[in-house]
Amino acid sequence: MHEKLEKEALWQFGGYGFLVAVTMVMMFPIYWLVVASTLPQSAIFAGGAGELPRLIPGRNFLANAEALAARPEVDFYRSMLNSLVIAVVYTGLALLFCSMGGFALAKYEFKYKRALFMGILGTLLLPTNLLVIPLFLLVSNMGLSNSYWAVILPWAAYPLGIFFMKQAMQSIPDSLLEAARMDGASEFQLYYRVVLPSMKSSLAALAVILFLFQWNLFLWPLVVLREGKYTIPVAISKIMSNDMIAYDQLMVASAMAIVPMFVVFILLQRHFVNGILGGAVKE
Amino acid sequence: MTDQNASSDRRQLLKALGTLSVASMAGCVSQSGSDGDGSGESGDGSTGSSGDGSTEEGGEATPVPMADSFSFWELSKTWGPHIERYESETDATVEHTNMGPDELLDNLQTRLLSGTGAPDAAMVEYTSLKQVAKTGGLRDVSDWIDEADIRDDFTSGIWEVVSDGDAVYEVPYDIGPATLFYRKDIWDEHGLSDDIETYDEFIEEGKKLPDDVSLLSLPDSGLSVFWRMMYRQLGGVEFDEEGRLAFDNDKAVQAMAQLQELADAGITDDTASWSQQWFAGFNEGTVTAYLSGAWFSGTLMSSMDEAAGDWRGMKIPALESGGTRASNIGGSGVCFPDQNDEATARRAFDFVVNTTTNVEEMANLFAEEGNISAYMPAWDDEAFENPREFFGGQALGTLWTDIADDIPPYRYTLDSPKIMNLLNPLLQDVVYGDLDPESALEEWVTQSANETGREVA
Repeated sequence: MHEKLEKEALWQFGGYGFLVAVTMVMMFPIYWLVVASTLPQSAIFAGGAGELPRLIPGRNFLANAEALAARPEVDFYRSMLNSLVIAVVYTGLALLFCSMGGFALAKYEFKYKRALFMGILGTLLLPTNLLVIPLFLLVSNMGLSNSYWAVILPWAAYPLGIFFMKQAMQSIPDSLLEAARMDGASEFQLYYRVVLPSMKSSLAALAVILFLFQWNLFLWPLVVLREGKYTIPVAISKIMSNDMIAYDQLMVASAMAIVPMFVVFILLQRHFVNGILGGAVKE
Repeated sequence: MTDQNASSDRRQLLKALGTLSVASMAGCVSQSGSDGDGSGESGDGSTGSSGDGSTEEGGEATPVPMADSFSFWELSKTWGPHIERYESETDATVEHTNMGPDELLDNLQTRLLSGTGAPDAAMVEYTSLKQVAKTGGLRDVSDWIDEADIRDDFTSGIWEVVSDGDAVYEVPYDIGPATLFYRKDIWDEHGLSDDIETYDEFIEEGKKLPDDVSLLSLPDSGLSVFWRMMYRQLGGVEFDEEGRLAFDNDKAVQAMAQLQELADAGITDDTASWSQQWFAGFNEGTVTAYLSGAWFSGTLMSSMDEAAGDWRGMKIPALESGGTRASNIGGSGVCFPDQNDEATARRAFDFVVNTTTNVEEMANLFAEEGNISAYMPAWDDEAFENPREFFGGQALGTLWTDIADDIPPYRYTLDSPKIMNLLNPLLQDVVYGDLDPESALEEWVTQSANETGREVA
């Protein structure tokens, strides 16, 4: 018995050790990014090929951030605000559309439902780059070019989100909906008062996915937005499109750009695992 | 439209969408500022239409209706004075936007393919023009260029670069005669002679430098640019007239081997180009030379003023004794999307031709920015003979016009950017790794044929 416990402990130790090692490997580039954002450019490039970069933080973070702020063509802090507004509004809107779409596909029977679902999933195969031309035409014709809505609306009904919510909502017992109907609830009330409250974890998990998706979009905002409305990825690319590339500013911008993603994830992480697993259980 | 035409158009659109997709993906990660800046020059407003514009048709002067304003995207940040002059002379207004090269390319291609939102004129580097023209959204301005009668005034071979068959898609702005920029003071200090003709001599001189000073900056992200410069110098072309891949030859290997030899000699520095550290190396004299187009002189003057007076320029070394010492890096022209009405396009064209063929303005451009116009009459201006203080009194203008005369012709296609993207990682293995040039070429040819679907000549 004692031997068995020892063996289990050893396995557990090995397992955790492995996880810690993998985590360190994955976190290393982010750690270096943060360290590099605190260094002057000369220190970022110190050391030759094959040598480890400097891993001890410096004191240049504020100086780098100030130099970044002084670049009107980059307009980084305005871009950060643009990205926040766009990502927050997008996440709210997309949660609404995805949950409604997922609810319909999970709990209603209608003609061509399967074909429709397959069609929605099929759009996941199209890379953003291929959608740029038709989307640009659509957005231009709607007069939305160079507006926040041009970036928010195209993926408001995000196929992955619809799929995710459909899978999650399938776990809701039909009998529960029937009972609510018998109590006189309308179909919208079923969605709003019965289904949504039990989907908090899934919605939180999806919110993280949607926020990150929008936060990281590059090509579409680059094409459809103009100066003053740029998002963070576009602003970061602007840092690189000058004669002299200020890698210190690039690092500080990138380090700041990942902060909101961390915040969103930390705020919602409690729900994230539950939400992701939610769709795995069916009635 | 017939069904056949419609089907053909759809195929074209799909192909173009694919092109944009690939280009965009490449564009998302590429860095700018490497080649191409433009400057152009012009004589005396040879369209004769700085006001309302006029042209010759059937021997009679016919007024050409021109719009009062137009939009223009540029990437060289040199057009401000041109616009100011044109607006003051014509009362036309220019809606002027500056962008980085990748940003401009992504935006322009999207708007050309979707048929809406494109500017009336846009500056595009020669290396990317075919890719943009393939969208089918550019105006063929060959007739207008003939009306303006300016073909013979531009450098030989430039029309091949801006044309596709008989169609001409750009008015050339500047060229980039390849130059070896070097720190004369550091060379003198260590006893290096600048009387060199070949890379072998260049390397030998470089060995006189102490260990903490590198002779040449050879950053690994731009190796394909240096390869193209050398390959063109040897008279090679990437594509033949039938559009086949034309680099499966000894010249291509020779250029790769030359780059490898430079690195193997221990005289190169691979600091990331355009970084502050890279500029600091030049300023402090720990790196003493760089190969680039004439436009790089402007970058030197704006970013390396600590070494003002110590820089010089010379023809690039030949790969073999008696070989050509002329090539080109960079250069741009101005194209005209065809989705806008003719009167607006005419106004934009008038502005561009009035600028690129304006001797005084192009001379100023050379003096201020260091860019060399593709318009040859401008080279006779005294500005090109003036000594330049930053370069220790050297008259770089005459050096560059001399080089420009000997630049071998070249041919770009839609796939030029793609094959360069395939080449660079292989060159990194050749120059800073242990891949041999022959194997690298074999791999590159195979990859290029697979990726582009083109035959190998």
